Amino acid sequence: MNRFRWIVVVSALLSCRGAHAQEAAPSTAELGARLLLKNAPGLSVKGAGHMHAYPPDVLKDSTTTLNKAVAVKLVSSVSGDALRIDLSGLFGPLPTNKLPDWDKDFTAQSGPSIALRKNDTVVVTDLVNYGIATLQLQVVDATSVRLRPKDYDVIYRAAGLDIQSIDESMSIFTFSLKNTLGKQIAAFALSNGKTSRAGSTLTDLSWLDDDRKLAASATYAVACDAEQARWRPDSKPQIVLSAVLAADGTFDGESAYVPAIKDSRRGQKDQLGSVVDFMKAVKATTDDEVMAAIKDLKAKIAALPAEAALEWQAGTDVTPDIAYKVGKQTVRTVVLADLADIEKTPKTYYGFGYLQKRFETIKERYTKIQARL
Amino acid sequence: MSDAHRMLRNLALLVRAAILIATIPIADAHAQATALKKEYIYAGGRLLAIEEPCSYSLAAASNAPAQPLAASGGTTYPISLTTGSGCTWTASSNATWLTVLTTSGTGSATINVLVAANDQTTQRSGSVTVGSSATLVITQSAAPCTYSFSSPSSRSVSADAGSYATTSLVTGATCTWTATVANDPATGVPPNWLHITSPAGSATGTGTIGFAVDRNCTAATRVATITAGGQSYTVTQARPTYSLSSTSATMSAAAGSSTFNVTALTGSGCTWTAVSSSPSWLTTSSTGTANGSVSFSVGFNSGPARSGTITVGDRTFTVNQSACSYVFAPSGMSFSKDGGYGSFTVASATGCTWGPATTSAPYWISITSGSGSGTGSVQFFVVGNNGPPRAATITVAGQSFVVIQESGCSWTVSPTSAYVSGHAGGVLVWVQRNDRNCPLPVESGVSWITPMAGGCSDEDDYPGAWRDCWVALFVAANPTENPRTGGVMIGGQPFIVYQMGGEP
Repeated sequence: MNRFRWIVVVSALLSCRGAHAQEAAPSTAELGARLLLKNAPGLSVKGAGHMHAYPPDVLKDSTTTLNKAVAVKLVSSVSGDALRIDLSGLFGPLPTNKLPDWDKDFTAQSGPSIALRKNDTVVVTDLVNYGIATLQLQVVDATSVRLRPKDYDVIYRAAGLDIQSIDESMSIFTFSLKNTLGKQIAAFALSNGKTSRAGSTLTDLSWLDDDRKLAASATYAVACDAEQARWRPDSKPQIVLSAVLAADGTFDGESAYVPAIKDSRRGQKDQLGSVVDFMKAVKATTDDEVMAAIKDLKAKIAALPAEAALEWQAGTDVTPDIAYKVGKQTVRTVVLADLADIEKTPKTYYGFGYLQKRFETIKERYTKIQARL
Repeated sequence: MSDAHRMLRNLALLVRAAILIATIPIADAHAQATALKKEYIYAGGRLLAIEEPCSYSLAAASNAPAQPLAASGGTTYPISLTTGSGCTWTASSNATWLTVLTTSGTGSATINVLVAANDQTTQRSGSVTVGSSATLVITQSAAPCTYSFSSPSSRSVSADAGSYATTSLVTGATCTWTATVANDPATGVPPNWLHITSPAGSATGTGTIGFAVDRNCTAATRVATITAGGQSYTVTQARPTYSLSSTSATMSAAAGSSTFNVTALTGSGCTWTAVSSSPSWLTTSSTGTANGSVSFSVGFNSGPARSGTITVGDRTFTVNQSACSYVFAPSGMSFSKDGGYGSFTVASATGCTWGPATTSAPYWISITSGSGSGTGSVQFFVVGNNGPPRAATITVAGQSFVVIQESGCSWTVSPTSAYVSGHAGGVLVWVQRNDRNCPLPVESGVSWITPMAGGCSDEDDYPGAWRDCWVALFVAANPTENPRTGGVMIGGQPFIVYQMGGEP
């Protein structure tokens, strides 16, 4: 039995497309569902898909009751020329520092199942009493469109990557970058050309399981949300290749990104080095020994600097020291999460060497990444 | 005799009687051996009293039983006393077993005597006397002989040959008896294994009976009876007894053989034969005398567990044979995400067949060899895993072998760092999974970044499918003007948020 009373209003047609002149990419028209929660970025799913989200209002309220939904589930499926969208309210634990296992940790109460065509908008109200503010659903054209070079500006402040193309779908820009450096690229920075670095992104490839992605002459794709990049729909997006770090350590580009790229990597490398050393010292042959080693390792990693130290003076760029520390802290977060995941291994997996193998696999991965950094 | 003479004699008697009367009191009859009889005669115109001695005679009354009297006693024996009418008398006996009931009287009478029972095995005599010379002898028969064995009246003996004695046969000293071996009711003749050794012939009075038994090599106890004086003494002879080196053995399902030892405790020299209760699968042909060993064999057991016995004399040896069992070594295996070949040993008894092996996950486990007999191996191949960790089983002979494969999930996070303003807002991170079943693991290392949403396309393939997932991070407003940074784990990779200073 539904616990919500969903009020559905089909509103005026809205276009989510930017004002950019576009040429159609050779793909069939596709639809995408867009969920607009109050005070949240637009969340979209292309074609058939699903999403779960805590409305930001829920994040501000630490109280919960049995009849208060804390999250929304959206499932979309293609139905002819429309998208069928099934909404559910999720009842369960409040948000923590991690995404939950939505299907296991929550009870879903089904909401409406709505079929929408392109440019339809649905306002779903009456959820306030259940802790979820009015939300809006849109079905938009999600066809991926290749932008023409005259539709954007590209500024190269570092050599080594060439923007081959830009595709846009549902305000998501996908850049195709080709390595022209003649050697492996480890990281790069893209910015929006604005004075503030807000909207800039860094992409470090060292943690990828496959490090061939940006080898010499290889092409890599990176996505950017227009809203996040602060690109207004009525203006040309400016795309700046701000920095490139080669795998051999050579750096080219704006010096402001040096700490965020190089010193952060240095912090990660040192931290991983410590973790790997500790893991190599572990001589665990039984499941119990592995679990004891993990507990010991977690205690050591958790003793790293607290986040309070990771602030720096207003008006200045991030310092090498801060970047180094954040590199170490981020590794701490990753390692603790990995170890916690091992601890959640079902008991039915015990006794067959699984824990030992898992421990060894993580150790080898850290070792490989540490060598790349 | 003339009257004159008669008168003179009477006178003389009277004188003598007067003298006696004057000197001996008449009342003392017991002491008086001969009483006096007084008679009166008239002679010469005068009445004369004449006294003369009494005579007594005793004889068995006409209704008295013939002698010797019965030993049982308890009867009254009548005696006729004949004497003068004035003669007084007393009667007595010289035997305690004769009680004179009529002890005195006058004149002839019947004297009753009570005869006690004779508990002796000899005839006895006693007499009743009246006066000084009247005596009647009474003879009583001897008591009959009785016989009884003192307790116990039976004996159990071992299977070995030996000599023994019964308990005492109690009887009278003069009683005679002869020991014999009673007939076996089944054969009608005395058993030939029990021999009376003493006494030879008859014996008198209380005594024991010596007997000897031959070795009993039969499979059963046997019983014989010694008879003497009408009494029975039972002799039970046990069958041979043995001890075994063990009482049971457990055999696998395979055909096989084993042995156990036999020690003869009694009946040494007897031949024993091992007998199987289940000759169809448990066989033995062992036999021996005294100590030895039993060899037995079991056939292959293709069915459920079973038991049989081997009997040696009075002992039973149990043979348990297991059903086919299968032991895996190891009991499971873990594989990396890359998969590969694996195998495990199936250990079972020779003849036990197993297979074909089946798997619960045929889409990622291929069995390349999964049948066999006895001890062999199951071989299989595990394909690479792009998704979450997974487990499945390979089943052989009803038992399961566990196969676990590590997660093959990998994520490409793009970008890996983002600069955001000091205002509250969201950060979208694109995550490419290598398998649609892989989860979206996201964990923040700082309190001001909260993973708030995740979404994935369920499309199998479409342009731009690489960004099939995204993660939304909610970044709280920076309460200070100082920038800050925090780390998040997304898909096992670090994601760093650089937040500008806020507007305090």
